[in-house]
Amino acid sequence: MMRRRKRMLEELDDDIRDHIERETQDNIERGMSPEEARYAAIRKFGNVTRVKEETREVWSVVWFEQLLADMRFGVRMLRKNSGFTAIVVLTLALGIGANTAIFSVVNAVLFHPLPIPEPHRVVVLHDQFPSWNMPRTKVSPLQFLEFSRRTDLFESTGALKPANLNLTGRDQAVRLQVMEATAGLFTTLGIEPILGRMFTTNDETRGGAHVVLMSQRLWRRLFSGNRSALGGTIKLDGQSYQIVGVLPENIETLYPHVEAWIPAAFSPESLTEEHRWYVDYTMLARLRKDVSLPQAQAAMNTVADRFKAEGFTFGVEVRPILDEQVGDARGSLYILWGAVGLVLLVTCANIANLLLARNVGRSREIAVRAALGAVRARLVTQLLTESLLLSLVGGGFGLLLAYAFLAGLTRIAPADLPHLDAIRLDSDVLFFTLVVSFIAAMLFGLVPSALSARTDLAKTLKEGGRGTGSSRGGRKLRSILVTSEIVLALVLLVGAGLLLRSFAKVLDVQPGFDPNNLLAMRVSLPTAIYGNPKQLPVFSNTLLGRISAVPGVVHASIATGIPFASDGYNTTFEIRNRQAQPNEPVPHASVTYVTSSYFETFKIPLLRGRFFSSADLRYGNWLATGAVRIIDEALAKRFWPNGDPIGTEIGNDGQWATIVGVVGRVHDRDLATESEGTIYIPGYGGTTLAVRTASDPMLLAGVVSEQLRAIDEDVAVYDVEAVKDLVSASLARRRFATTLLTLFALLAFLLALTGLYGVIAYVVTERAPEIGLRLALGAQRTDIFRLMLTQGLRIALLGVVLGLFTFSLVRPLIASQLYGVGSTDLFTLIAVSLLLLGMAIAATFIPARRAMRVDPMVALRYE
Amino acid sequence: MSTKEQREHIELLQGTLDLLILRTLLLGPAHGHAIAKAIEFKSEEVLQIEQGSLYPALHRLIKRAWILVEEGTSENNRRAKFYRLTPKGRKQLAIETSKWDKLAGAIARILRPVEREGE
Repeated sequence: MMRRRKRMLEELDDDIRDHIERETQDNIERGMSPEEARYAAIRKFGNVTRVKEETREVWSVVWFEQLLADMRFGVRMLRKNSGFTAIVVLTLALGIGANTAIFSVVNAVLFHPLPIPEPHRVVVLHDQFPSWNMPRTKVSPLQFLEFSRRTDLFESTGALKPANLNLTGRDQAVRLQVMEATAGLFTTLGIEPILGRMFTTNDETRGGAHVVLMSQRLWRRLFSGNRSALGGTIKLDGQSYQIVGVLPENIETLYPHVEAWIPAAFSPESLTEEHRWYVDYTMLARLRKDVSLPQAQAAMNTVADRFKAEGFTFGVEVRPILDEQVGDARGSLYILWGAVGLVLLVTCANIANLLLARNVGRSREIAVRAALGAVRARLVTQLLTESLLLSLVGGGFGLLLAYAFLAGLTRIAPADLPHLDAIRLDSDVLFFTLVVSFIAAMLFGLVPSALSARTDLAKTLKEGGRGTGSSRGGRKLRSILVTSEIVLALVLLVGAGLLLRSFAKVLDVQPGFDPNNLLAMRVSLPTAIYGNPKQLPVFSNTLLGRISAVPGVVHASIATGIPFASDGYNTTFEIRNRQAQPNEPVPHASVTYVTSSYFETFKIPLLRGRFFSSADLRYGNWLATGAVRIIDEALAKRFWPNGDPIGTEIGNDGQWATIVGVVGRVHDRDLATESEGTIYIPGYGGTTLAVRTASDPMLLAGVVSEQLRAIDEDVAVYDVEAVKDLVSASLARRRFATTLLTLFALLAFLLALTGLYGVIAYVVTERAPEIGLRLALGAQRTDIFRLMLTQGLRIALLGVVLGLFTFSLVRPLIASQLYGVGSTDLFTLIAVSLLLLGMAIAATFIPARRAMRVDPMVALRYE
Repeated sequence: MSTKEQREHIELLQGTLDLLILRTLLLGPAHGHAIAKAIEFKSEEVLQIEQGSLYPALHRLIKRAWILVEEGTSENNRRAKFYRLTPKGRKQLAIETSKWDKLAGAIARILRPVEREGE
């Protein structure tokens, strides 16, 4: 249209000139002199400038001018009804603000592209051992090399593994988060160094020169970002590493805590067939351009099939790196997004209701305009323009609210939510807000506008200002709107109720140990010294001795891992003289190496047998003669459901250890998941220190770290935490989702109640004359009260019934987020329904009472 | 406000001009000057339109898709723009013509009531 207009106008000059020439020619033929002919032609044509202007006007955009006029009128109307405007804008701001805030989280966490080239081609490969209840593990070096040979699938591959190294040779040993990586990793990620070079395959040779890549953060911290750092050395665990490069910032999005990278060098031993299942490397691969994810997955399935006969189920999963990063956050974020969308729907229904009520009040104005010749489409556009204005203003305030919401949101967001720092109100979010505001305007504006524009002119004008002409259709529509508000509110309330119940259930779960007054910290020992079998027990005993002597310390213990702090180890084992059931998977369990006072430190109860004594402790030769084990209740129940495990021997490869005790089961990662069983091995294998204190554990953190350093300057301490906080942190995601859904549900609930109140109040006003008449004819006031109450209750009941039905449709979505309650939990369903009905009665109560107090004289006089 | 009044005023005149243009084009495509000439000639020079006012009218008709423009060569081999009636325009012409007839008839009956009685 605009192009056509431009072309038409451009050619106008030519057309006019052509026209005048022709006329001149005609005039000459008629016998005029050329000069005369031309003059006459111009005169006959008229004012050229005016002609051009008028032609341009033909093409001018009328709708735009109308829109401006509508806007001006809209602004005037909204300013006139400032109370109404304020309510609508506030409601909208809440709805849109909540949506904007949640969207900015969803956008940052789920949609934010990873800062690497073509991230969709980068995948992580996992081993899967479903029969061992290990759905996703890392891969072994041998597997890594085997998979890497599949150049028909992968353009490049890389492997990495965390390593704890101490930065030494400075005043105080500092533990660095170091990652071992193969040279291919950076190629796979598509990351180039900002300074120096990457690893080469040369760097991977064992015993070669030590080299290190630094993160930008470490480079700034140690060398103030000085380029001369390149080629220099830093000491890690007492050994010199040459700095060959600095990595760009984008790798910190993927591996936020890693400060330094060293080349991964696989030992010849780790590449033998015996070590096939020593899965300790994360494998990344970049898919070839012509290979899709399903193709790669299918190819890896074929690879995995080779191991079908091994007595356990095995698979290889090819997982996009984004999924890897986001993990199970996706499910709960989508639920929250959906929930906040429902809140917006409730908001829109509510505003539609308000608009309907107001438009009824304006029906006379609308009728007059229609009578004066306004086309229906124009009236609808004009009313819609007002809606649009409202929602844009609401959206603007919503943005401000979202800004405030986000501040609170990021505070309660679980720390392990990826890209948390990327959450901001950026252009994506602004665009989303704009679109949402627009959609909202259509949702709440279209129906009321269309309905108002259909006003029966004659009737409305005849009835004077009261304009009840469209009231029957309007009332019905308003009831439908309120009913749907109640439906949506109920769905949200039930969802929130279920999450709250789950949360309460999770909080009720006993972790199996006492997390209060328990201090945990990780100790980073220089491997060069403590790799020696003699050194670690000596160090451990010295440490435990010193710490036990600190006043306020009740017990101290060292373990490979403690509940809620580490992933722990998994192992398979055999039970001596036990006949395996056919098709039974190889027995497996978590393994923790602990010193003798571990159970006392954690207050894990002894159920049978005895605890470890210091004589049981060893380092190496784990299965030599005299070795003992303690197992937990979960394992005992699984393999000795009726018998006594004490005295039974478990082990591997024909070497055995005797079970001497059974302790209570412990939740090791998450209160909501049961542990599969744990084997405790007495020995010095661990580097996690646990201290039972008499009072607030954090008060002792400083003293304990000092004791550590007093033994060895090069020992670093990190992850110092009160175990209670670790347990609490494990609930962060659940708490986040529950808090937000509850807030959203309450918001929807409140809106639905005000909607219901509004409808009944409106009905009362509208029917006041009728009520007056009834009263005059002898109706009891209580009858009137009951009449109005029934009306509200009927809407609420219908809403609840439909809401329960709607919930049954979305039920599967929330089922995965629940713990300890079914998604059809009767208690929640009944409680929420009753709550809604009760509050609905309360909301109806006020207008119903007003109906009861109608003065028949006053009401009838107006008729 | 004043521009609006003016526009309404002009519209009335233009409406008539539109009808005349459509009618002229019913006989076949023509260029701007030819249309002006034809209207003058047909009305036996009674309707002396200002030739310039033809152009806004033509553009309005194009915008409404009642006529369309095509390039061509005129009788003396000069490049010229020809305006052609579209099917939609043809239909509109029928509507406008019957409207005009009714209006003219009604006005005639009002202005000459005697003649009507004499029928």
